[in-house]
Amino acid sequence: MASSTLRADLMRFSPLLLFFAISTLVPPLFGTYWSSLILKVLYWMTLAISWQFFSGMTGYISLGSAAFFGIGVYITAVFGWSYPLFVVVLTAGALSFIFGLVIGFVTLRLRGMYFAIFTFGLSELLSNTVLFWEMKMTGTRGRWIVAIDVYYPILLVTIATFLVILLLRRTKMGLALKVIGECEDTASHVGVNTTLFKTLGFAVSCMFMGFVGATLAPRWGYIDSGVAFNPIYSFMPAIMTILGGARADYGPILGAILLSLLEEYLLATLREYFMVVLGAVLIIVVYFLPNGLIGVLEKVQRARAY
Amino acid sequence: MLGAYTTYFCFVLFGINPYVSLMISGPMFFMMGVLINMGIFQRMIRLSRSAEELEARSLLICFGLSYIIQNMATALWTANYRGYSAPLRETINILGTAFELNRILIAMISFAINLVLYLFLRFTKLGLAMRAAVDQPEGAQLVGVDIYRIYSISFGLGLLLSAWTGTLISTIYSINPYMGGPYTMMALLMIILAGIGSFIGNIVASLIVGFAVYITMRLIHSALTLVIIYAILVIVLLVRPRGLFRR
Repeated sequence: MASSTLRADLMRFSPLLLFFAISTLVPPLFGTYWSSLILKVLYWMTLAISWQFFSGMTGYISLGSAAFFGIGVYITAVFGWSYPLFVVVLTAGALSFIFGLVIGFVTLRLRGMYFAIFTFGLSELLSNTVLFWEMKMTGTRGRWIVAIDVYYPILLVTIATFLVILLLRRTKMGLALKVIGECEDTASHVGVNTTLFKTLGFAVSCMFMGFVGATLAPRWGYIDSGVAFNPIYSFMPAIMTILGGARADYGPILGAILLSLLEEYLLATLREYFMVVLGAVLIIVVYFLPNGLIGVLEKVQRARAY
Repeated sequence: MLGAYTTYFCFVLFGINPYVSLMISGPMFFMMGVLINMGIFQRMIRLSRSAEELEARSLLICFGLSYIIQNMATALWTANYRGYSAPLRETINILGTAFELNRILIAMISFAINLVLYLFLRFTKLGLAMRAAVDQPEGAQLVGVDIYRIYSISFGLGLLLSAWTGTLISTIYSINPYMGGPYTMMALLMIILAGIGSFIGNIVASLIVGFAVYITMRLIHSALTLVIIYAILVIVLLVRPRGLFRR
């Protein structure tokens, strides 16, 4: 893939680019229901693409996305009133990046299991800390958020994330992450500074999650630490990416579209069973389709070629 | 959670003493563990290319299972908190401090379980085989240990112990389908604090975490317990990247 030109890469993603183009027309043409549905697809897709860039590629499963997402949400909640949204979003991304660097530095020299467990508690850690802070310092719980229509900002973040990660995959870091995922020992033997690239890659992926959280925050109007650091933001991107295909760049996109639509459908019909279905999807995919749906598609294609 | 609910229903429907229901939930969850292991994990052990891959995939499968079980439980039993009047609520005075009798009993039962488990792992043939299967899976197979059977038994024991913990907890606190969340997180954090696969390490880690949690709750605030645990964890992992007790 590294040998393909940028142009060929963009060609491969032309259906997605077409989707982005159509998305710009949804709010004026199709009204609020469809724009909220597309909004959902877009932000889940962005989170999944960011997750895949590090965790999908390397196999170091992060269960802490909600922490970095929540940092974004809270930055908007606190500073959204006094500064323009794009300044706030950039600040949130920078903070998530720094926090990601610290976490990566502590845990990424370790085996994958330690990393997964360590990140699993992060959102709860931040959530409790924020709660403590609010109770002690301001005596309140939660806060109002400035009201802005987030549809176009999210679309912009999605496109930016997609393009930047597409470019990053072609850099030394992208290549290093890919090799680490295939065989970490080989990577370090041929002189790749694995710890450095893992930490950087993780921080970059966290940064994008911070962007999404900060951009999406105005949608709620009012948030508290439970909303901002909801663990669903840790698990959904992971499940989506694994469903689509963890190591394929189309994986998170496909998985995010399918699961957001499924979520929309189930929340309207069988609300209580959505999490059951999510659990079942996770088990079935991990158990039967280790390469996700993309893996299945490739197998079918190969079988046809013969 | 399921252990707690088993005890709850045994008590509410049949009037069975919670401590007696340990004898019912024990075999039940042991069997369940063995079945889940044979049904799901054995194939994965065979399919996974490396230990890391297996661990990652098992973790995901376990989260998937817990989603299903928690939400099925919610659908069946609602998300409401439930409680029953457990026996031995009387208090006694020890050195001027009042203790509830059932808390003392729970502490003693937990201690006994850990002691038996330690002796079992240390001095029985099965225990030896278990430790071997963790430390040197290939070597264990070479000397004739059926590691798949061992994994099944270990998984069954794991479920049995969590179910028992659920029972013990249900005698002090009220229960609901999501009660397991914080305990899962604490248990996982203690495992990496101790170093994966170390029994003594886990005892020490749980004592450290237990005391840290209660001291924090008493002196500072209950919302900050995780901060303290993470602080300990960060320091330990920086000094000993594989946990306290893992070589």
